[in-house]
Amino acid sequence: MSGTRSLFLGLIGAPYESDLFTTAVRLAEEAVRQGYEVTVWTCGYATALTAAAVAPEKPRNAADWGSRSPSPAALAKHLLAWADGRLSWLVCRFCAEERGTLTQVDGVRIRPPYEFVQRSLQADVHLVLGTK
Amino acid sequence: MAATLAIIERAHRGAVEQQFAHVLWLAHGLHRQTPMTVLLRGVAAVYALAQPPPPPLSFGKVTWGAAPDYQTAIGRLTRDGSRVLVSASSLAALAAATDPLLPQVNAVSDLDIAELVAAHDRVWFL
Repeated sequence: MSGTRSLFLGLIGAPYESDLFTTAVRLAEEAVRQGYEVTVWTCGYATALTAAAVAPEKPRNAADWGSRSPSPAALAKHLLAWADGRLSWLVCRFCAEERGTLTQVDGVRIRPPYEFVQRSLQADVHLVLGTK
Repeated sequence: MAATLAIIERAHRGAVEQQFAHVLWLAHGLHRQTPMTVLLRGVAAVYALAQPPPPPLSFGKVTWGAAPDYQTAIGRLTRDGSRVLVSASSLAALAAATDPLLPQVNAVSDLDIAELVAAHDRVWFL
């Protein structure tokens, strides 16, 4: 027994619709902090969160010009670097191809759709955040 | 009245994704171009409640962006002449009928809302 437990987080719900993504990254971060090996798997329009076309920062806020707001793609890259190998961020190829998000930021990997079930069943704990 | 009634019913549309660019920020940007009355209904009625300011978003040991700050946005809207209203029946449905509201926000009945719709030239669901 290696002693390292694994968590699979499936993120299917679309961004900018609910706090699913915020919930997922909070869970992922805390799980890494507690020693889990975490896999985040995105499907549907959640694949757009880490598309290479997403800028590192949101457009500037005209009401607060001096502030800067990092984008979700930058957050994913930040968490991948911070987790030091204990976090994987995977994107469903089918969903990405369908939505034009096949080119992803560094560190995020495209995987075939059948791995969704394989990886979720291999994990000690899996949680899928879908749409309701 | 040459004004637009902006009805907001959906709340919490992604803290990390939206940060400052949430629906009340949008409403303020629109209000600067054309007068807006903002009505909070449904779950978005919680935006009218007096709550502590949101803590910053923190991930991987560092502060990472800012959580949506609806109170500041409501203050900005009302300071610039917009009316911000909240549905009393929505607050009741959320068991928040007796919770304190932000001082800039007034609760309105369903009958008031019907009159508001009639009194505005345009109704936008944001």
